[in-house]
Amino acid sequence: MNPLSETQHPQHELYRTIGVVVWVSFVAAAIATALFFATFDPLEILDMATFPLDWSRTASYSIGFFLFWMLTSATGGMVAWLLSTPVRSVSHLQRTSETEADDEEGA
Amino acid sequence: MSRNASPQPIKFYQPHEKIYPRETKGFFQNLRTTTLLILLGIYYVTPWIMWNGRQAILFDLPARKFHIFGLTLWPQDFFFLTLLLIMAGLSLFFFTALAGRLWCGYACPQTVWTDAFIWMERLIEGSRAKQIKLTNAPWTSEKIRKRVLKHVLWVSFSLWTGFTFVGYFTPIKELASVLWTFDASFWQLFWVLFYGFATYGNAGFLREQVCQYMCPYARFQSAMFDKDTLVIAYDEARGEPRMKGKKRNENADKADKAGDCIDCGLCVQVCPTGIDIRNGLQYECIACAACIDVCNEVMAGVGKPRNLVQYTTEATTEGRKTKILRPRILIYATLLGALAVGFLIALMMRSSVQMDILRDRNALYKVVSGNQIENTYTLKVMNKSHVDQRYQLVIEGLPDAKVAMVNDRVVMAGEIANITVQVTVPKDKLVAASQTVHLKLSELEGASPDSITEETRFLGRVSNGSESK
Repeated sequence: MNPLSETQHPQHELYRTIGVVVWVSFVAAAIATALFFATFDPLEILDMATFPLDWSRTASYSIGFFLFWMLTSATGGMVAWLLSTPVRSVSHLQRTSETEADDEEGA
Repeated sequence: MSRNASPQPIKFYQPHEKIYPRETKGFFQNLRTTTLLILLGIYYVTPWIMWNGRQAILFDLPARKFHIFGLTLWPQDFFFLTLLLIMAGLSLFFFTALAGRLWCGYACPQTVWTDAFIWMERLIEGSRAKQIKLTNAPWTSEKIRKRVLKHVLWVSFSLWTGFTFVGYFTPIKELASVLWTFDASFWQLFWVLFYGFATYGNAGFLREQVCQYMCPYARFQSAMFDKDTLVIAYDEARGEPRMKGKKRNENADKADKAGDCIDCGLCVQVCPTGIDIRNGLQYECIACAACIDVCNEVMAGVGKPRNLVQYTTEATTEGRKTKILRPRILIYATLLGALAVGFLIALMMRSSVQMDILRDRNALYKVVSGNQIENTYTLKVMNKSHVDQRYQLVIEGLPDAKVAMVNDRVVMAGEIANITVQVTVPKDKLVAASQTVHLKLSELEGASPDSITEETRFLGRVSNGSESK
């Protein structure tokens, strides 16, 4: 049996990309938060902060988690966007159109 | 210029078509319901269990310690959590290779909570047919009543889920009382709402889309599958050509006689991910076995043998015997077993006191009282026991040495204390300029006092008198 053709409409992609980026970054951020705060006590870090911060541990964990999440989703979003951007190099386009022209001649 | 074409709104995504899974009954659905109830029960009840006057399982993040029944783990024990996570990952590989997507169908929180939400939806809106009818119906008062009721039920359940989640990290009884009196801290309230919202969104709306678009496991599980892995499959040889009632009867005597599949489409209707199992193994399939149960019921009704859709392996379909003990199963099992044994041994040998020795950086040694050589150390002592501790320190490997803890004091449970220690030894007892010694720190409090021995060096100048001998 032939493999089925793609069943999803291309417009589905954005929705899906957001879901994937947000979720995968969430997991990565959770792991990063656990590793970071198992190693460093936020209260000790706050003591050494360059500007006074009066956060409890719970607040620090939460803010830390969201900072990690922002960072990971920004990275993921940027990667997804760059990968989905078509190649716009002129030389590449020329080469592609030449190959297509050759194919047409051959046919 | 023609302006006839009306502008089309740009849609950023295709509207998602909601799946209304039909209710099924049968052996596997009973098994799933039981598993689901047990898992939900564990989740909601665990934080309320008490142990020696405090919550039995409490990941007390504000105090940086995890209580698991009698055991208290500190950030220094992060190693155990890592091991546990590696073991969880390996078990997933092991069970996937053995029995396919058991995790997805029976144990994944996404499945468990989605099923709970579908159950509530059925309770309010009725069967699949009634739900579809209600969706297409105009907004009458009856529809509004049902929809409001459903969402009230979903939101309450979600909030309770969020509350329970936070109850794993902060004592749940205190949390209940501060929430009751509107006295909860911002972050407590925030996480209750955040987790509640995630539950509501994932189990109420996203459902199978989480498995299809967001879950990495659904994509890489094929790497763990082989021909001997248990999967849910439709018996094509027996079922095809599928035919419905009238055509079935017409073709009854012909050469291309109908297969056992009566093409009733129930296997598609019961599927929570909306696929047709008759198209073969698909990544959307979460192996919930609803199609097996419904097909068995249909087959019984038309007087045909069961298991047109069944748990089987590719090997069986090819007419080979399924091999359970295969290299990948053995490798996963061995790794898992070794890690589990290592974990248990490490947990049992875990000392409730931890000590790091730092030598004084300013002076290698000092000569005191004319004939005594003194070395100073700083001990970083971590009290990982439940009680406040006093300690006793002895030195091994240096005869006639005296040990003095300069700032001997009680170390609170969970505290890391810096204790300065002076070791003095008469000059003439020293045998080398640098020698290995052991410091042994013993607990003095608690039911079963623990101890720890660490190695360090003792430096000094060997006196001329002893050198000439």
